[in-house]
Amino acid sequence: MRNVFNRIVLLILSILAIVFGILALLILGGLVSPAQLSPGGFLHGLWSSIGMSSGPGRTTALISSIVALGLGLVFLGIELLPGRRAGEFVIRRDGLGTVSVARNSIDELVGRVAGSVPGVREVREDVEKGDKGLRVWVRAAVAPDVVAPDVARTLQEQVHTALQNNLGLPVSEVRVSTQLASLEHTQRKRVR
Amino acid sequence: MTQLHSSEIGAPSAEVRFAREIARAVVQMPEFASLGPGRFVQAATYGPGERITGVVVQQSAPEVFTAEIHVVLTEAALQQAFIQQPIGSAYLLQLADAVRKVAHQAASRVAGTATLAQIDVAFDDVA
Repeated sequence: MRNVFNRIVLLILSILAIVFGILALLILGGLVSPAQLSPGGFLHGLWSSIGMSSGPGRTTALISSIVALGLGLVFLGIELLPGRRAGEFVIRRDGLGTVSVARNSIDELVGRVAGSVPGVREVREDVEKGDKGLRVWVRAAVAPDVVAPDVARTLQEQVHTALQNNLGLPVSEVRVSTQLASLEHTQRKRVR
Repeated sequence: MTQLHSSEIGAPSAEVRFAREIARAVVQMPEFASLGPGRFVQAATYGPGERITGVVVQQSAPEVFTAEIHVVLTEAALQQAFIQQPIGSAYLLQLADAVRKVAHQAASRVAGTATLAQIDVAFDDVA
């Protein structure tokens, strides 16, 4: 309930910021007059001050409008995009309540399981929730003296088993790509 | 007009008493490094001059409460969960059940006639 309340407040504030930004930009661009946006004189003073601003004041009004619009869009996006709730995975929901695991914990365990596979030096992982279960991507840097396809297969099996059996969540796919070069050019996570 | 007795002024609410007991009990479980702060918003129960982070207790009906418990797993527990446990053991779910049991026991110490109807367990992080 607390989360829902916070999200509704954030949604309303985002929409207000977007509306304010757009209207202010329309006034500053001379596309609408303050009077058109002030039925019954509502907020007429605000719109007039924006419309009649000049010099540095106009620049400030322009920057403020763009910032309000930008922030509104960013927060609206954060609230509405499908990935918003992907920060946690619900692994059980019953009459007693829910059990959830944070996404970074799942990432951590995938990295840990992958790190336990002989021949794996570094690993990068990503976990998403798909319609049929978890989808896991693992990119691993392997030692030059191992057979990469074998390591990849072992890694795939172990990640799949660890997630499915220990979390209780179905795993629809585990994609593994291996390379000899270090993963240091991207965000790197060393195997412990 | 409502009259307050001096003993009631500043007295912790039922939510705070529940949260305090649950937090105290859960944090002692060896599998957890601490209580978690929550993922998107601060997970806490607020009382007069007091904040219990990691446990959110809310009243859902008269004398009925729900709890949301956020925990941070220790490295050792994670290791046990995903490497040392036999296949199919669903260790995290077992751990969640253990948290609920501990929370129920803790809550029963301060509950009186109130009940804890639902307990959500969130594994927030690993430390």
